[in-house]
Amino acid sequence: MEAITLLLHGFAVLLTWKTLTLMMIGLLLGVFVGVLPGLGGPNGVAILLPLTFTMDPTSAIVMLSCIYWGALFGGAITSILFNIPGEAWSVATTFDGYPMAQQGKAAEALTAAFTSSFIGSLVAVILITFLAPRIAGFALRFGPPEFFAVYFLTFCSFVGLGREEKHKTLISMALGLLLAAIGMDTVSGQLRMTFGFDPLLRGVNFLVAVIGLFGISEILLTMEERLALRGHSAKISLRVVLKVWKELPRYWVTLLRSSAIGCWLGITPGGAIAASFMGYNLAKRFSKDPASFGKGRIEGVFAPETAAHASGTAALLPMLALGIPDRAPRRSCSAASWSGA
Amino acid sequence: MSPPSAQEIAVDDPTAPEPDSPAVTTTRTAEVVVYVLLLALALLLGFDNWRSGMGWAKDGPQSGYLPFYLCVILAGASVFGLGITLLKRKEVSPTFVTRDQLRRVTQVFIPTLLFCAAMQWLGLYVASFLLVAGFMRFIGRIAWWKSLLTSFVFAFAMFATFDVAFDVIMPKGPIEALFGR
Repeated sequence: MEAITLLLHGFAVLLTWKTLTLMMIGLLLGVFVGVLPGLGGPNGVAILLPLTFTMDPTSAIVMLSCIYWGALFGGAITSILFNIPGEAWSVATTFDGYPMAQQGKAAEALTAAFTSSFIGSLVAVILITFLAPRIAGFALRFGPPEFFAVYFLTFCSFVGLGREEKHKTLISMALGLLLAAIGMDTVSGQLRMTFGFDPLLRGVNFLVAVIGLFGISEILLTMEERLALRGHSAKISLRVVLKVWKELPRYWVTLLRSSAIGCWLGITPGGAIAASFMGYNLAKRFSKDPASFGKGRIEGVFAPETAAHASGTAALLPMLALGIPDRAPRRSCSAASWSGA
Repeated sequence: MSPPSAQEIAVDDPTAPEPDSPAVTTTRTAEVVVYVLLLALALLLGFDNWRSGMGWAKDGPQSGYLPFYLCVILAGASVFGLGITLLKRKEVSPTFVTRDQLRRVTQVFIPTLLFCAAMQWLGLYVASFLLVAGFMRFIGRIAWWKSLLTSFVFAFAMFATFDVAFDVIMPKGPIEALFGR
């Protein structure tokens, strides 16, 4: 019951014109960065972070999470219309989304994408709402040894579960931690690794590291490729939206399965990319007609999108409750850009 | 490319790198260089941390304790990476960057550096106007009026957001001073 009271209190805080306007701006900016190939959710958040400098914490979190959500969805738009996944987790959406666009059903595919992202996020949000207070209550009893253990486990899982070569992950983590250690030692107050250079006294600003390692390196990587696009234009009308929604209950098994996969992979460090592929593959496996997948089946859009969004949202749980960042912030403190991650 | 039909959207990239451009260097060379640089960095930082104390004093770890061992890990992983890269067969290494790709990356990287330098005396807004206009015109080959208009709208929107609406202090130059901001 307490969770519901807190939830209602949260809505009371959010339902002001100022917050709603910030949400709209955040979503628009998010969709914008999501649509641009190479500039995805985490990068978008990093680049737009300065916007929130002077905001109060609530507005800043609202704005940033809306950018994040907008970017998650923006990736699906280019997947469907251009066959170019704006984000790695929208790759599975291209399998059926783009064929649908080729058949002139782009509007249906887009509706399916935003509907399933809503369902996936909603399931994950409900999960977070009821699970987070318990986990947070548990985390409040954490002391330094427990935090060390949790972080140690997190770092080990980065090395063990990452797709990159293991020594490169190790290098990235050591570099990130070294960057964070520059400046004044918090225990002894002594200076370290400043080499007599005064501006380093307070260490390397996190924002500088994020934008330099993330934003600029992504832009440079994008420039190596041909950026020409060719795709389909689409008009969404209310009629199409309602038509897709009418069919929605038929796919409840797929939606439920993908949400469950997403939530699970989001909380554990599996991530949205794995979730979207797993959602797609399982939908195909359990389908009565697996051969029709990849030829423009609406289920092939529902399954990966629901899973990716459930996972992207559920990934907030360990971060908000335990302070363990997911893949995205982790990459920012690493020099993973050169390892091709 | 055939002209797009009404149902299609086409965006071209006029200065795109050619796919058959000759390779400048292989991934193997690039990796070797990066591993050597990382190793040098680890040695430098490791030495500095050793100098400031990497042991365990009576009151706990000395300031260089954690970073020193991070340097050990960094150096170890770099040597390992260097070793396996050198042991790999030379012929199979893929291209790291082609000449055209390098040209494009430099075209973006150098102006970005200039942008950071220009920001100190021109201010953020004027510098970003120049950067956006320059990129649109010279890399995107977009018409002058479109480039100038977009970059003006962009710079002005940034100014309105940061300076007017949210009071974030950003570097400003002589042009803002003309308007008394």
